Amino acid sequence: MDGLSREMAAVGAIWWRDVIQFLRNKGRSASHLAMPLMWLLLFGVGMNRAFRPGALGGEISYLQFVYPGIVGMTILFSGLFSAFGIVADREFGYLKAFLVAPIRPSSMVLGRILSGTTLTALQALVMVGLAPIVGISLSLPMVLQLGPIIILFAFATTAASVALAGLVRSHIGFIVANQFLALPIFFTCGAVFPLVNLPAWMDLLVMINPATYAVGALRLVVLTTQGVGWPVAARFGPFLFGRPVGLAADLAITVGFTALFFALAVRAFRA
Amino acid sequence: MVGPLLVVKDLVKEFGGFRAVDGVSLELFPGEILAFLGPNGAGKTTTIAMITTLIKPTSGAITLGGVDVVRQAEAAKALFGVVFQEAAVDRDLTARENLWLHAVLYGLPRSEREERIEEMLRLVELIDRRDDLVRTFSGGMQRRLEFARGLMTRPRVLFLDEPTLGLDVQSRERIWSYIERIRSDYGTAFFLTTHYLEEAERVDRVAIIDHGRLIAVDTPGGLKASHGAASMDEVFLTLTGHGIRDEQLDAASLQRVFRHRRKQ
Ligand SMILES: Nc1ncnc2c1ncn2[C@@H]1O[C@H](COP(=O)(O)OP(=O)(O)OP(=O)(O)O)[C@@H](O)[C@H]1O
Ligand SMILES: [Mg+2]
Repeated sequence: MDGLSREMAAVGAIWWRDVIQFLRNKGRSASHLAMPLMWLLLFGVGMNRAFRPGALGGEISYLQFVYPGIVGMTILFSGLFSAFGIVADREFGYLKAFLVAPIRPSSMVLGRILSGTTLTALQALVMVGLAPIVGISLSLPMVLQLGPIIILFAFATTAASVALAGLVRSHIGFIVANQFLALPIFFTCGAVFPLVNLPAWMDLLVMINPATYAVGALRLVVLTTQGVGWPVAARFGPFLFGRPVGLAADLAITVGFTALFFALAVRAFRA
Repeated sequence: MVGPLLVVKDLVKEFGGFRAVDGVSLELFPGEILAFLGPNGAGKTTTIAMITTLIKPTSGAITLGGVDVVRQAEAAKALFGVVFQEAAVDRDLTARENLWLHAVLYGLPRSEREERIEEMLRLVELIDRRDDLVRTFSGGMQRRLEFARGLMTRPRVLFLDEPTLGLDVQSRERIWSYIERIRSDYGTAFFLTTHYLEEAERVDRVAIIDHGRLIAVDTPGGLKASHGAASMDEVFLTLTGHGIRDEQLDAASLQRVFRHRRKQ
C-alpha cells in the first residue's frame, strides 16, 4: 500500500476500535444516548420555570433561547472528555502499541479525533431529534444547517481533548483539567444567558472563548429557522467591535479554533 | 560475515540529574538471540524504550538496519516489533481484532491480513480462542497474543521486555520454542530481557548491565568460563553483587548522579 492510503487505513482502524468499544459497552452507550433527554428535561424545562415570560424581550421564550445552548453544552462536555480513552490507554500501557507503530502521529491523532467527533456529534444529533420536547419544531432546513455546525464543534472540542490527553499524564489529572476548563467555558459562551450587559472582564472571557462562536452559530440557526427575524436572533450575542457576529463569521472563527486545537493535538503526540 | 543489524553507540539517558543509562554500546546481528540482563532498575527497559523510539536519548546513536532510529523514527518503526514489560493488548477486543488492528497499523496488505493472522494465532495456539475477548484470557495467553502481534509483521528484530515474567514453566517453554522456531524460519533477531537466568543459557550472547553501564558481553559459555562459574546465576551474582538494589539505592544512585555531575 502506498503512504497515504496506508495512513488513511490506520486512521480508519483507530476510529473503528473506539467505536466498537463504545458499542460493546452497553452501559456506556445507553447512558451516552440517554443524556440528551436528561439535559433537555432537567435543564431546559427547569430553567424555563425560573424565567418570567418576556424576560428576553417577548419575541422568544427562554426555551427557544436556551435550547441551542444546551446542544452546545452537550458537545462541549462530551467532546472535551472524549479523549479519556487515550489517557486510559496510556495507563494500561496500550498507548505504546500505537506509539511504536510506523504511522504518523497525525494519523493516530486524527483517528482518535474522528471517533470522538462521531460519538459527540451523535449525542448532539439525538438532541436535535428531541427538539419538539422543548417546543422547537423540527424542520429540514434546521437539521441540515445544524448538522455541519455540530460536527465542526464536536471536532474542535475533541481535538482540544486529545491535546489535553497528550499533556496530562494521569486519568485523575485529565478529569481535574476537564472540570477546571469545561465549567468556565460553559458559563462564558452564552449558552445559558444572553451576552449583554456583562462586566468588561467577562466580555473579554466571552470573546476569547472558542465555544462562544459555535453556540452563537447554533442559536442563529435555531432561531432563524423558527421564524425569528435576524435583529432579534442576533440580539443575544456574541458581539465583536460592538456589532453582532453573523453566521459566516461565527463559523470562520470556529474553523480557526478547530485548526489550532488540531495542531496542538498533533504536537502533543509528536515524539 | 554479515554486518550488525542493530548498532547502539554511547547511549545515555538522564532523568533529571540521574543517569538511568550511562554510555551503553552494543551490537546485535541478524538472527541473533541476545539476552539483556541486569538487576532491577539497571536500565534495561529505558534502553529498549530508546531503541524503540518511545523516548529520546540524552546522547548517543542508534542505527537499525542502516536507519538512524532517533532521526528517522518512522522508517525504523517498520523494522522492529516489541513486546513491552507491562501487558499492552486491548482487553476489550478479541484476539483476532487485536491482530487485525495491528496489521492495519503496520500496513499489511489486505490480501495477506487474514492469512497472517491465522498463521500467528496457530503459532501461539490461540486459534480456538480467536473470537473471544482478550479480557477472558489468562496472563499467559495474553502474553502469547502479544508475542503473535509483535511477530505478525515479520520484523527484522523483536524486542521482548521480560516476555516470560509471571509465566509457568510450560508457558515459558512455549515462548522459547516460538522464539527458536521463528528465528530458524525467518532469521529474526531477538533482543530480550529476563530475570530467569536459566533462560540466558540458551541464547547466543548475553549482555549484562548494572547501574546503567554494560559490564559484560559474551556468549553464555564464555562468561561461565571466564568467571569459573557453573551457571549463569553464579556469573550474574559475581558481576553484580549480592545486595538488593533498593537497599543499595543510596550509595549506588548517589554515585550515578555524582559521576555525571563531576563530568559537567
Ligand atoms: N521516567 C522516569 N523518570 C525518572 N526515572 C526513571 C524513569 N524511568 C526509569 N527511571 C529510572 O531509571 C532506572 C532504570 O529503570 P529501568 O526501568 O530501565 O530498569 P530495568 O532494568 O528495566 O529494571 P526492571 O528489571 O526492574 O524492569 C531506574 O532507577 C528507574 O527508577
Ligand atoms: Mg524493566
